Amino acid sequence: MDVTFILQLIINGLVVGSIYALVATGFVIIYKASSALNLAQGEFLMVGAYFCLNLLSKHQIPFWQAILITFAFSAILGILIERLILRPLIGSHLISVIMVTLGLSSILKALVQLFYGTDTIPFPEVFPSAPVLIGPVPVSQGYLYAIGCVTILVALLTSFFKYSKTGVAMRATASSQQVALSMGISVKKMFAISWAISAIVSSVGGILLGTIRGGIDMSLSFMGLKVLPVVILGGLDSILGAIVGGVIIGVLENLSGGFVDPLVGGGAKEVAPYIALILILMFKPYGLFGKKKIERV
Amino acid sequence: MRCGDFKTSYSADMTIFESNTARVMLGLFLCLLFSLPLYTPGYVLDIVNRIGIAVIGAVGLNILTGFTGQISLGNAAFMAIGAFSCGYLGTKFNLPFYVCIPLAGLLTAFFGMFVGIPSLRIKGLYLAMATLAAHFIVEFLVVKWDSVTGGVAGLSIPVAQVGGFAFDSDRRIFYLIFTISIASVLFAKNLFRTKVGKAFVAIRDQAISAEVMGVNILKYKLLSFGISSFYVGVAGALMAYQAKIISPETFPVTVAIDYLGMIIIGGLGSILGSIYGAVFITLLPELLRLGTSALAGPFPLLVSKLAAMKELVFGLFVVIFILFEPAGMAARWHSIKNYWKLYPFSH
Amino acid sequence: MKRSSILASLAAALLVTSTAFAAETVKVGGLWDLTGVTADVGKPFADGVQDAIASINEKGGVNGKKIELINVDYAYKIPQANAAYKKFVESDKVVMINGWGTGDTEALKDTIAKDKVPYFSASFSGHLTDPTKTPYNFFVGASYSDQIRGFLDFVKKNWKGKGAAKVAFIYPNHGFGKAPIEAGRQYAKELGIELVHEEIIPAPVQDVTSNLLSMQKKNPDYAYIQTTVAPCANLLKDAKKLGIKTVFFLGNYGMTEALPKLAKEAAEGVYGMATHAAYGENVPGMKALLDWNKKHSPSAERDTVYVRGWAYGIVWAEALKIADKNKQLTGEGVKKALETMKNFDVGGLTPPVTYTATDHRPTTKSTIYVIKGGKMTKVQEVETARKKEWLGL
Repeated sequence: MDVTFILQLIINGLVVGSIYALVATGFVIIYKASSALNLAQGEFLMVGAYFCLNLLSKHQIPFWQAILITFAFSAILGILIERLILRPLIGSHLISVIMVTLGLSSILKALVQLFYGTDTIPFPEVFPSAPVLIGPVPVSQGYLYAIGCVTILVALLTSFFKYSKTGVAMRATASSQQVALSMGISVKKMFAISWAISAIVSSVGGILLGTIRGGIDMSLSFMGLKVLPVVILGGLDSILGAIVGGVIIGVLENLSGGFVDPLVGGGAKEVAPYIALILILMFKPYGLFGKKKIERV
Repeated sequence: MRCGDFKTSYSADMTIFESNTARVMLGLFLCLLFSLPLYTPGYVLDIVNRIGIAVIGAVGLNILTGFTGQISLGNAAFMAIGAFSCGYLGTKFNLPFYVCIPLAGLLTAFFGMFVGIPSLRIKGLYLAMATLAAHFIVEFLVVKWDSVTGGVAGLSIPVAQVGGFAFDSDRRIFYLIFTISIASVLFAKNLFRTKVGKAFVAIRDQAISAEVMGVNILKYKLLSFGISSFYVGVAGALMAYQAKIISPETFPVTVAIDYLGMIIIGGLGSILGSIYGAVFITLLPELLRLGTSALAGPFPLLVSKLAAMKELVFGLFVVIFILFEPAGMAARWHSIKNYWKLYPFSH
Repeated sequence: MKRSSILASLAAALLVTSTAFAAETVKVGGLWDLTGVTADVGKPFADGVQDAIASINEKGGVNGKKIELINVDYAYKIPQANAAYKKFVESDKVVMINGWGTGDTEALKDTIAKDKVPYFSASFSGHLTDPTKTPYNFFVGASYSDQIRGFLDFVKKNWKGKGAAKVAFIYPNHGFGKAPIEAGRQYAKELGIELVHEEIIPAPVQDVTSNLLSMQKKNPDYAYIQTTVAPCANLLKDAKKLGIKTVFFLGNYGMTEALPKLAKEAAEGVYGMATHAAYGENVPGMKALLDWNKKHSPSAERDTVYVRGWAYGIVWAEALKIADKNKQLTGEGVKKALETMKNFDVGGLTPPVTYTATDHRPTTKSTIYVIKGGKMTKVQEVETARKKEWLGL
């Protein structure tokens, strides 16, 4: 067994998985707070990346300012979408909510395509590209920065939800909207904040992906589909599950790519997360950390 | 002008056509429809044929999602199974189309029921995810199992023929497609007048109550998956005969999203809605293409933006319909009809 | 004047001008990928063909008749290609079609033979070169199979190490990616080069690190990548991050001026096969392109794929002229006209083109380039043997 090979696959899986974890966290935050399933999460990631790139290359804004402006833009986008599209659908059929976010993802994808075209647009170098050696394994510095960013972000989010007043209020709303209302919490404001945070988290993922890949194109929106096995694995309403799930799926993908692909002649890497999804649904439908809803008919 | 609703017998209440006028109008429409190939150019017939196929697929999906409430994102995978099994049966065993198409439908139905087995335990989003996963797995298998499917090079479908008559042009295969299409619409409409159909609706509305009342949830859910997949499989098989060449790229996940869009925009739980939705979504890219090439003089850049515009308009329509007309075009048509029925006393 | 008579005369005028206009044009279908997975090279190609035809129309077109290109973007989706083909043949009644991708061209090959519509594809698949199998398919440049043979010849000549040279093939699992692989396998065996690994990459390309790591295990000395420039750039960047030492060779849709722009330092020292001149290269035919762009699109960034499209336009417009002179401006007539073209000079934009009734390989010459200092630099010209048994492979 080639240890270097496995280690490289795992590290790559960690990096990719941490981006999945970010997108999945965004998904879970929205689900927990407003019971909505945002299938347009991948498009939030893409829009965030393109917007930031626009600021960096066209307007020559320095990196940190560009990020903050992108955050503001994503937050506004999230709040607008919540207000205009999801608010009227509270209480409607599940399929309406799923389809409306699918429609939304089409709209966002199309808008990006209209404004930026389908070519790959190079992302300016933010992190130095020379690889660094971890043991026997060369790792790109951008990867390490990405993992670092995600860890910091996750720590921030966890402490936000645990210690800040708004964070606790959001958890209360997720737990029971009626009780939270009667306690004086503005549930509408909580919805808005959850969408804003979710959009920001996704755009971080987009920017990180852009810096790692060195370029962005329409394929970023595929992240949205990838996030589904992650949240199912981790549990739809658990942020910890999203993170763990993301990492597991990322590593699983890469290991399948390294070991199964040569056996089947390619393609196994893309389908592995979905096979995993089916297995999880069969044995642990609520995921590793999700709350069980007993309903047998 | 009729108003009021006074039925004196159960059969009168359950009738499909409420008046003789409706029957006559339908008859006229069918005559007009079947005379189309005589004077329409080939390219338009290609679109019309695709609409006919989409109607079958949309009705099938609506049976599962609109009437039984089981969300399925696996539509494209089912069509692929129908198309490739039909192609395989036709090329390997040289079976004629009137054997291939039903067999393909049956194979898809079995597969659909297999996918439907978990639907007892998992609901809603989880079921949607499972069907989506099934889609990707089927896509992978189609590419890999190239002895059956031809792999990435695709499969060339032998021309459908009976006796000496070959359905080798859009003009001819029109009749095949629309005969099957109309038959399937009629069957579906009647399905919901029977016990089976009502059981489906009961499952959608309130599964627990239905179980309490004695509806065997497992049996009817599987039946719903089976019938729906049969329809979609037949649609896939017809698509194989019409396009003459199929490949794994013919059935990406966007096809499944398109079909869901059809039944949402058309109207969940409405057969007529499925037809409207199928017509609308199939015509959309063609109308956009006409529009952009007509405007190509003053706005030459539009042509390259066509794909993006199609997605934009699709997304906009889905969102607008869900927000403002959740019951779809069928409901909107219904309220327009009712308005004019009682004019000037509409309310 | 009464309104009805104004309308009537307007209608008559329109009718006259439209029929008059219609009589003066030669209709050609143009099937492009402007927004799909190969749009990175599909767009410059389409631009090249369209500009070449516009330039030829300015100079009189086909013996006085203007060429009307009917453009359709099918985004590399085979069903759309089928629908567009039906429209071209049944409704627009085109004389020939300038198509694009391997997948749809190979899918349509029997239909175009039946309908007798000459089909120029931007696909250089070797499967389109045998007139006994694909009598109506043409392309301009050495086939993908001859390109990979050129690569293997280069490896054989330059390999100075111990034992046999080790090569790997990297390609996506579709028609375009797989086209030269069988030819490559056979020729590698013939030359005694060891094909140690074939790596199938996903298309569209996402994260390819695990694929590269798999290839790395077998430690190939050279690797041939058969895909378009944007995914190639991705692969090269990831390879550089992983510190992979293999020397990469790209096909003619990978080696373009866009490569150093997209891959930056990762493109240094990467080789590739080119079937057409780089944009701005000092060949006699380049002047027409430079003049046209100076006048019409001075700020556009053109590359070798644009030159490719231009060369295509020149070649089939010439065939249209020949067919028209013989009063055979039909599909079959154009095919015959093409098969009379012997060593047709395209001004150095591509090697001279020869088609015959038994061999649709226009040339077996291609040029090897290397990226040095961020620019495409010529290394040498290669010519593979024109063997009869390689027709259609």
